Amino acid sequence: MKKLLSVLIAFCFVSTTTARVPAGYRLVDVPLPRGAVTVLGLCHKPDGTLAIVTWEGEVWEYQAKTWTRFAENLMEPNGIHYDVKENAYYVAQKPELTRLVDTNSDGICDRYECVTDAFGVSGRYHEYHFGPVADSLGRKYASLNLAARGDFTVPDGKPKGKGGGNMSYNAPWRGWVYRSDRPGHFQPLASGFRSPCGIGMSPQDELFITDNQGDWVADCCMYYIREGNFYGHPASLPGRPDFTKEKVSSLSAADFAKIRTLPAIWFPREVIANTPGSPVWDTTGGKFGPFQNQIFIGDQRQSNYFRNGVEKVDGDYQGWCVDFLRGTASGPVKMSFDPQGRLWSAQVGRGWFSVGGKRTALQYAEWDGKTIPFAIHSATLTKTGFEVTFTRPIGEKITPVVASWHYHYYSTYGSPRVDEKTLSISNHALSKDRKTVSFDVPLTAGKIYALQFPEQESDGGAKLDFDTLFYTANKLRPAREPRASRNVGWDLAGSGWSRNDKRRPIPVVVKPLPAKECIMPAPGKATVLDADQWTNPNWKINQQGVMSRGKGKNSTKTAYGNARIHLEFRFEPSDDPNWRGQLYGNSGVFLMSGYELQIVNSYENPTFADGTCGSIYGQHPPRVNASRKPGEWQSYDILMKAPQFAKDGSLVEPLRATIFHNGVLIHDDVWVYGEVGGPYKRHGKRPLMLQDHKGTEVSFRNLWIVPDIDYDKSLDSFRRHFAAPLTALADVKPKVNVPSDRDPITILSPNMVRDMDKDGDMIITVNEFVGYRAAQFDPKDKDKNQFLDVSEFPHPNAFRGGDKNKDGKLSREEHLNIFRGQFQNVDVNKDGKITAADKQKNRKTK
Amino acid sequence: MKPLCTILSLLVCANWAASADLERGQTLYNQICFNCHGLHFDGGIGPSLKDNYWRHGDSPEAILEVINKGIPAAGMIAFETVFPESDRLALRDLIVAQHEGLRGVVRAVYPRAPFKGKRLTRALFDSVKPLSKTRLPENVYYFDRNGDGILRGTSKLHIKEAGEYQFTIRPIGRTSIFLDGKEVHYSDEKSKKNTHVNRKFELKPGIYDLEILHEEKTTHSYRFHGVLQRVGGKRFVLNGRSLQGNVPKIIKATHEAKVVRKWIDGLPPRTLLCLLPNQTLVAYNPVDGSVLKAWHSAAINQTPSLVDRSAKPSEIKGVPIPDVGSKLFEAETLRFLRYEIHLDTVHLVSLVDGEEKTVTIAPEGTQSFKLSVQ
Repeated sequence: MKKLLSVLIAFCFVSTTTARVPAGYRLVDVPLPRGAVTVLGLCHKPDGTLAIVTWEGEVWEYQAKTWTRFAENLMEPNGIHYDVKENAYYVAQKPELTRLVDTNSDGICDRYECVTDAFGVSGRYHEYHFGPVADSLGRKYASLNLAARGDFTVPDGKPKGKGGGNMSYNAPWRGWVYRSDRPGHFQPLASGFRSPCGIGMSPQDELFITDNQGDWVADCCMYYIREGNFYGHPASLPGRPDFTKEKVSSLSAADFAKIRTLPAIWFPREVIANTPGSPVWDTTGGKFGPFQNQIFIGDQRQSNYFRNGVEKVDGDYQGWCVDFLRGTASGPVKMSFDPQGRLWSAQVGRGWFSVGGKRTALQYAEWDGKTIPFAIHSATLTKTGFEVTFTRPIGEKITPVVASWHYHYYSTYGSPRVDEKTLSISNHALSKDRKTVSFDVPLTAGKIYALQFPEQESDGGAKLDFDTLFYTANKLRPAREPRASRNVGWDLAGSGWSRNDKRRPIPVVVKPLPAKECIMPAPGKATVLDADQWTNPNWKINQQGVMSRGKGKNSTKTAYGNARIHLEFRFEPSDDPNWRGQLYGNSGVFLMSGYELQIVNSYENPTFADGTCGSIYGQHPPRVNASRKPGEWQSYDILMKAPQFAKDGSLVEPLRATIFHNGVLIHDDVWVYGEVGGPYKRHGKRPLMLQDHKGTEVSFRNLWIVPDIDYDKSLDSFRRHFAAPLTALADVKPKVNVPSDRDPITILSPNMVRDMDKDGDMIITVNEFVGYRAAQFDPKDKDKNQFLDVSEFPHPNAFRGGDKNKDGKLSREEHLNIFRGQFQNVDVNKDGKITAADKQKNRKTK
Repeated sequence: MKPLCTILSLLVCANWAASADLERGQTLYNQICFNCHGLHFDGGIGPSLKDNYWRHGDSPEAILEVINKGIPAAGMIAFETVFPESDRLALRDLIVAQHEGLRGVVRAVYPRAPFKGKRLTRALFDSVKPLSKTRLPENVYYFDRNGDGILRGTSKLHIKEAGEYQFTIRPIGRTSIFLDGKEVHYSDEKSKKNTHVNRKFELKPGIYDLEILHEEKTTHSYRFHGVLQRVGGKRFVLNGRSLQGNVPKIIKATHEAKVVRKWIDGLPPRTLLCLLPNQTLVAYNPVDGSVLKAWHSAAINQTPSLVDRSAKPSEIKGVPIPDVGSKLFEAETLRFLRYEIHLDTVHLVSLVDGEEKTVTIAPEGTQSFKLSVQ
């Protein structure tokens, strides 16, 4: 009986860990090409062709059950995207964002284009590059992982915790998310990520990123991305103009907490996710069942898919997650819906542990078209509690078990659930159609709520596969939601903001370049825009050539397209408290009469971000605020490319501009979304225009224009026009500066070489070797008795044979002698130093 | 049934191995096989035939199958088209006779509950249904799941040298080891009483049944680690890496040029490795438009990187060509645009001070390359 019981127990244990696929769905395996093919990403073309990208650096296409290799020899591409308009693939590989083109249509890539390599790569472990995804304008977005080891970590005095140490910012823009809208363009968008391996774009051009639990990241989560925001991991802050490494190191969690943006959804670990992949939106129009428009994410460790939804509460996104399907063969990292409405996932397990167990897999989930599984469909926060909707009418109403908790924000790896408690509910009601349950529960902002419906059955007796939904309640319902901003006909796709959003972070103040470096005379090819060139006589020009803002706009007589423009402006100082904000010195440079570069006094005169001096008004705040004070002359240096239109009037290429304010770069090849007051409307060359505006006086001088420049050819040198260097970016030199004729040491691991070879000459002397080890003695000697006992120096071979006097402990000298002996072994050719000449004997690849 | 067949065939093999067929096998090996598998079975272009890693199976049947059918993907020909069966059997027997260490490893994972508080015995394991059971082609213990169960490893142990042997097991959790049914090792890290058993035992050349039972606290990964040591001689490490998916991937020159992006120690991470059909490899840095290094008779071993999920660099194998380093452009601005493969030539295009310039790298002779800039 005992034996039977133990077998039964074992069997029960087995069944709880096996697959759970909702009724009406099935999971199908797709065989991969033979050989080493570890799937890291996938996408679909409109004709249904599937493309996968592999760890081994290859792109394979799958059509009519046949695999063909499209591209190869990439460096760990972590994602692939197909651009329909361009008929090209985009992959985010470690060194660059690459565009793959098959120019002769033979099914094999023959052109590998570098879209951007402006971010840094130090070569250390874990510096992955994820993506890309694209917005409806076709612009690409990707995310960058921090490194597992390196020089710049932010431990903030806390213990590391189980699971891992502090990740490091070894090279520019690691831990950031960026946008690249054409080759050579790189626009860092937001910072504060750790391992942002999931990236997704909603159908409404909203960018979402998932991050992994770790140092500074309490739990796995998903963020809604807003340009300019900081998302929590401080190691990436030095990329911002208002932070240096020294400043970051001097701050603590309390400081970072003030500036960080919370996740929209937390994914409780072990229950929902441990390593969430990329989100995809169900836009199949019902082909994948009753979960239309929901967000699906696969978890690499849990081997599951889970569903999510977000809603705006007090102007910010927050939402819920609930498990959906368990038992994938490996670990899903990227997902894609095909034209038939099947949800495919690229799965990988090797290297990290995936419950599914397999090294890699490619599977799709499909719906039978009719069966509605009984499941928690979605939830919403009400003013006093929650409303939870099921996919089918429920039977008897079960009282939900509601618990709440919150997380610490600190540098330790992960956070436990803090102040977890069960809450009692009231006003438990059921809707007429029996699908929606509502109840009240004491709500506190900043908590995660677990809403569990144990043993809840449908009215047909069906059980829930997954009975708990988790809601992230960063905020509670306000009395009134903030009003949406006026839509003038264009959206700031992928930026997370709307026009003139007052919550958008205002640009950081920086010192402008000295005036003498900014004033520049017109070059030979320029047209000087003196009195003869303007149309509005109300704008008076005095004898010194200074033009004052007058009544009505002022346009040039000549129309221009691509141009290089220089102009200087000055605000009349004013003490009048009525003339503040947008009224203190307002004008504007209307490029081609329609696209406004804002002029306003932003020196100690705060205003909303995209109305600051130097902004493309309503669209792009300047990168930094480089204003001089009123009374001083300021300058703009503009390189602009006119928009291009097709014959039918549609936009082919937007207006692009690269702009310096007082010698500081404020816009780097930005994409202008439309005219300041409306969408793009086909036009040819148009005059340059200066704006009249209510408020204090503005005057201008030294305006000149070089027409018909070649924007693309001039761009790279224009970016370097002023002495202040651009922050994009050469590779970080590896810590070991290898003289070009000296080969690297191979007998020790590269990490050990980096740590030991202090002078970087690829020679490790006895002193460097033993010195490195000697430095480990004190940290190991926890009880500070100047000896290492068994617990302080554990090793299967007692003390590594170093306890020569057999007193059961290691003295400092004995400790050193172990490594003096080890040095002898490593110095294979016995020349007294460890160099590239010391080679390992033929050893199995470890 | 299957294990019985294996045992029988091994025994039969052992008899055959004593025959003159071994000599015939050795003769053939020295003529043909050594080219790829090394003079001493330790590998080269092909894998070692002496170690634990048997991607295609280590049983006599599996080895014969590989000899017969070859491995086209790796370049091993189907020898059934070349040799008569007796020759192939002789080769197979020779290789089987080289077996040393673990073979036929089966790793099973069991749920914890039935074992709580009980001594780990084979009878107890037999009474519980495993959560999973995997035949490990690598013949070493590796773990691709987090530690959510108890391990049972069964295998054959091939011994070639007589002597005194002993197990050394990392003292984590509980471990029992049985050799031919007799307990030769028991350790329990938590036990206050001295229950530790770690006997030395005599072994003669032959094939033994080895069984390892192990339990440890759930962690991110199993920390089981063990070694079988012959006193005064060879060590057999019971743990190792899985080669799953890590089919040694050597990037070799083909009739078309290639541009390879892999992490190589000592080279910047953005280096373009241009591998030409004549096996010349040119390392070009697109960031500053310079040639860094070059090799002839070159190939790239991608595998070290794959095995450690990219924690290790790949390796260039080849003969360095001296004095190739040079900066190709003196420019204020340089931005790499793209590379294209035109049959045997690589085109590297950059925007140099606003103008597109192409660096062309083509093979020259059998051990060199020519480079031009337009």
